[in-house]
Amino acid sequence: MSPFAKKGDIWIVGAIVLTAFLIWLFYDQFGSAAYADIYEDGAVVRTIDLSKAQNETFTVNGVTIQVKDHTIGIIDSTCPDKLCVHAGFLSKQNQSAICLPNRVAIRLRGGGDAEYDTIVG
Amino acid sequence: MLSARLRAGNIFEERGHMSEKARKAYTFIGIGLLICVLLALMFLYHRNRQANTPVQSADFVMDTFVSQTLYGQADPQPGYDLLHALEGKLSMQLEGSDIARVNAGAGEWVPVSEETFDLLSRCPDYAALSGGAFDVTIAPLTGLWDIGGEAPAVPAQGEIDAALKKVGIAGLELREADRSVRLTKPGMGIDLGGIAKGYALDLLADLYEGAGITRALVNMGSSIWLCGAPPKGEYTVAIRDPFEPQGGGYAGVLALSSCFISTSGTYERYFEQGGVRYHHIFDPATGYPAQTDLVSVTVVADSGELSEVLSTMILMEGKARLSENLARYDAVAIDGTGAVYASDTLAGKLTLSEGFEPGVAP
Repeated sequence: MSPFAKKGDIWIVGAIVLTAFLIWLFYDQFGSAAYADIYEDGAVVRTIDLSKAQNETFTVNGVTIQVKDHTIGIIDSTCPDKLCVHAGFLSKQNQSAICLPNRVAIRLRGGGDAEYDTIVG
Repeated sequence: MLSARLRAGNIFEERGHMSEKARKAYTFIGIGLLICVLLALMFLYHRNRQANTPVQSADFVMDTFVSQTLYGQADPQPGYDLLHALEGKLSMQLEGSDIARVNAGAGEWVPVSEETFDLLSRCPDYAALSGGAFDVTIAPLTGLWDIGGEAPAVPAQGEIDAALKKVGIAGLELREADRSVRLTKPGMGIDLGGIAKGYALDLLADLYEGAGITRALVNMGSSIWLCGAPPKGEYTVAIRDPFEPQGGGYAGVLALSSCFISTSGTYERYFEQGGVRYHHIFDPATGYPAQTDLVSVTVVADSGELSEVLSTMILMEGKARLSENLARYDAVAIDGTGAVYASDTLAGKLTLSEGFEPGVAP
């Protein structure tokens, strides 16, 4: 007798398939974390998962970047105007801090708490 | 019949009427169908996710941080290549560019690329549209003031007067026959800083739409192209807070799709001397930064070039001509008190942030 013939087995198989499907759906939908992409000259030189990140400070092409309490910001730069430092610490999707003279930028993606898709001006 | 089998209960209800063999077969078919349906759902869902998953990238081009968000697994590199190539033609700072050669050869006819000629050919129209305010031959003044430079200072009046003599759109001549451009007087110069990014977005839009891209968002700082619309309905575009431009704050959010947006502001680049703010948008009539009672103007248009020209023009014309401009164009203007004036066409799409109040243009 085939094992599939039993009523109980069918329910078990069905339940496993359904559970797997739901888990996959759940992870796909809600598994997105907030990432900080750090760009230097157009290339992403580092990506930090802010939800898991430890506090640290590092430098990219004259720009000092700090990760603090799951936020990220530029705390110092060799550029004359330091506009990038004034951008403060970023925590929400689509926020960015840009240092044009040193060609370094931080941009946040994912996380699902965006206040806007993009900013102009 | 098939749908009846899919409902697992039916298989068992009917078992009394079926042979052992048939029951097994139905069971196999039932489980097989369930798995097939789930796999098909997963596939469709995944394909939909892929179409809606943004591919984000960025580069430093044309003196700005350009970020592209493309959907449907599109490659952003051709876009960056286009922008770099265009910068090599339109930048006044890059040696060997069309504009650098035209400026250096002022007084002589200089052959230029198709794109440069195309853009320059419309610049006299923009000067006329703005009553002379939007003038790409402003380079002698921007060079003299050097707003973004190491130690900007108000130049001597004599220097300003001398520079003013070398500014004027009438001194820009175009010759179609050999696609050449001439500035009539030595010392004249073209500065496309107030229009190049908008034009670049127009060319980028042509490239992407030609490649079949139906959804994208390209941000060039003060100008944006929105291609198509997101599944939620519209893109949300924040207008930078003109009073705290570096803090990431915003004056309000516009809900928009399929359009070009540009913002001009007196807060973007400036220096202060003797308590006076000197910003980077010059009035070719006075030789000084444009006197305006607005601090930020955002224009929505169906061309990037036009949105840039209009945002600068409306900012320069100030409140005096604001109600007329808001009626004619799709714009949002902010004054020094945080009052926000919007065209009727945009008022319903605009959500203001705290500290900003709707105003009524005089």
